[in-house]
Amino acid sequence: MMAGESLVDLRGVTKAFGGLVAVRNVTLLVQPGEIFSVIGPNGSGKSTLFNLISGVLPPSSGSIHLLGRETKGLGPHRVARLGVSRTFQTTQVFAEKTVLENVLAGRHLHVRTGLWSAQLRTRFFHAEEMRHRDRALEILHVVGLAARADQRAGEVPNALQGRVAIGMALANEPALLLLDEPTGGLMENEVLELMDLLRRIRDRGVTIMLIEHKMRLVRQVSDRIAVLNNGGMICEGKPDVVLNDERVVEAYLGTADAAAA
Amino acid sequence: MRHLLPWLAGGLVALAVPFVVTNSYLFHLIIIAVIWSILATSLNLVLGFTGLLSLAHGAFFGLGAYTSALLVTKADWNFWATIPPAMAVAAAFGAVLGLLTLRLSGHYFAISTLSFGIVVSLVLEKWDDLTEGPRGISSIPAPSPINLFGWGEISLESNAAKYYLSLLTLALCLLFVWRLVRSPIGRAFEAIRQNELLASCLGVDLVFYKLLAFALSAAMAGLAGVLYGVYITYINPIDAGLWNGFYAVMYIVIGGVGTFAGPIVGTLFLVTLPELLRTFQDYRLLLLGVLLILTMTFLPQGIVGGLRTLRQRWVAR
Repeated sequence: MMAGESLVDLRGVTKAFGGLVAVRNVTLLVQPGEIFSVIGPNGSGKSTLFNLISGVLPPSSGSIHLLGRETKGLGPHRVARLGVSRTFQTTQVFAEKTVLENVLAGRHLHVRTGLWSAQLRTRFFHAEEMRHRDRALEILHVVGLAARADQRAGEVPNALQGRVAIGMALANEPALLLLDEPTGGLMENEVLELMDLLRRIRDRGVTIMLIEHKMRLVRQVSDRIAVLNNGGMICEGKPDVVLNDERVVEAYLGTADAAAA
Repeated sequence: MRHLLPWLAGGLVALAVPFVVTNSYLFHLIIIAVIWSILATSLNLVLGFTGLLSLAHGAFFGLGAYTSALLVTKADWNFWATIPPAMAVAAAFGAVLGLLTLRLSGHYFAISTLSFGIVVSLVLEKWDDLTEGPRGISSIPAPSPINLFGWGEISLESNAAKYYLSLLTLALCLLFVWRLVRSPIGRAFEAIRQNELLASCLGVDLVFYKLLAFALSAAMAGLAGVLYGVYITYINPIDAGLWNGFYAVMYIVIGGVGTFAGPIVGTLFLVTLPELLRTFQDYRLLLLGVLLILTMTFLPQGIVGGLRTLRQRWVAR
């Protein structure tokens, strides 16, 4: 990536499902090191936007550049290879596997072991497994799950499963992390912890895009915010400006009181 | 190491079988069960560990058997030299079938593999010049003796020798699958089985890893077919048909999907059980069907999964 280039560069991105336009002509730039939030009412196209960026869905028109690379025609596994990780709105983990194994699965793109070194159990195989295990444990410390490493992910309390998902996403050592409503189902104090976690992740050099409904979190952690409504971006900028914008208040926040909450 | 104890015990019992089992019919069933255990283990790699329901494994089994038998009987190849091409042919067909169908999901995939199985056995039946058609290939010779370079040689004429050959092959296949599954490649398979969308977002190339699982599994099924041919000494297109594939699925489901011992336990159980209940011979398929339904309802992890749960409860007390 060239210096000064945007990490995420969307130009006129549109996604239509038949007659339904889920994302309409969205143009936005995210700079390295930012926490960039995407907000808007339910059904405004936020998750679809994430699916387009992560390669889960191809755009109907427009261009997407991530880390300076055009992602046209790349499936999710190729986008992940560019250094992009994501979580899902309905938390997705490998429920039958332990927390540690989940994070290890996230190391997939960093594995060099091939069929033969796995079959012959070479010294390289053991050394590499050890290295990934150590790295996975470090990541569990970052997301605060070290004590639950050997618990099955499906048996971890719901509030913490989101952290398993974040740990898995971090295991890919992403440059860009897409988090789709990470506060879903969290209590007030857990939201504060998450806010702290997001800042720590950003401080490790990871750019974060965040879909969120909890306005206090959005206001406090975001460097910039984009607001979607009916698939179109109606406003974009610094939190104070965006959250007080008339159109935003009308389309999403409802009343000025709600915006202050 | 305690989890290895049942394997050790099972292995010792298996080694003792030719000395203990005097009933030649029962011994025949056990040899067949060992060979089918290899087929079931190969299918388990895709069904149990990667989550793909293949009904084409009977065809891979048959392709391996035919390749080896044709090379030995028509081209005078040494038996041992036919093993790599037999496995390669099965793997190649597996890869081609995979390329054509792996983008399909669930039932669509299963049905395409089913049709592939039908096509293979039909081709084997109609391509008379090469395959002898419905007559099949008979008088397949025993594997050539293993030369010990001045220390004599090991003959593979007897059933006991063929039994040990099959047993050794099963052990190697199990080791192969175990090491594969317990490796980063196996983690990718497992990720695909549990959640394809999540797996692909973690960077797992779904098509590549499914193809890999499929080709390796097909090669192993082909190897089982080779052993079947030299043991039975006769193969025909039915051996490559649907039923072997269906039975293999049934053995795995009843033994325990996605467990290492399940395919073996299920095969042993289902191959020997109907013979012990001879009087019910006419109702064999009916009994199997009922058994399958009962297992899926009450023991979703099969016999092995059920035993595991029992042991956990025992330990917890």
